Amino acid sequence: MLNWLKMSLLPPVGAWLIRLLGMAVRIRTEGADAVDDLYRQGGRIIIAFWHGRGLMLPLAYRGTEAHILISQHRDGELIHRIVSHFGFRSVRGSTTRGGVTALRQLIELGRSGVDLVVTPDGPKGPRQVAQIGVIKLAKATGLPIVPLTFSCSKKKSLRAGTASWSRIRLAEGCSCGGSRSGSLLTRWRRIWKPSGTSLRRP
Amino acid sequence: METDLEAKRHELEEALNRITAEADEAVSRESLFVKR
Repeated sequence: MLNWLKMSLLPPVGAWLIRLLGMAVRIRTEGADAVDDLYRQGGRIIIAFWHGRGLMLPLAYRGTEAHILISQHRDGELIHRIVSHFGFRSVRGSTTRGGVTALRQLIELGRSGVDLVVTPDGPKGPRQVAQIGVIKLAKATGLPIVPLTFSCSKKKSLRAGTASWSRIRLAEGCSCGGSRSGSLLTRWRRIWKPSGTSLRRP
Repeated sequence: METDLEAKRHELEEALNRITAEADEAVSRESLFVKR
């Protein structure tokens, strides 16, 4: 019953909190020109960010359709339900469970013309150490990897459920008189693509 | 081949760490409160 309540109530509340944060903070975006150019040319990308840096992805995403790799764990289910409020779709799996099937699904999706979203260090860490899966995904799909991060001037880090090695960063908007806020910096790196023929689509 | 993949993995790791450090540095110079 408690779990049902959690899974039913938290996702819409979480989605609205993200929307409210988006309205409360000043969002500055850097480095997105190359991504926009690629979208204009009909290209698709693999977005990669560190676990704990992706909470504001719904506010930063610039494409039309993205599928996010999310673990099959209960916390993953919660994240899946929250991001679905923003129109994101999920592929469930991780290095510890369902990884092979998820990778196959992602490859098919990537080749079909949608964006893919992964956390190279998730779901169990170690923190900020990339796993090889995202590179294999880029090689198989031919899609460029675009590193993304965000940072906020007034931040709180929350320990995130079982992923206790990570810290979810929240932009903490301040509603004092409605005239002040924290600020959120979204930074994209210029297109990063595995170079060399060995990493292109076969 | 594996060496190539490993090099790319390392390159991605560095890129993510670099933009994250740059973003943290950029916002750390800002005031905690800014006028909208």
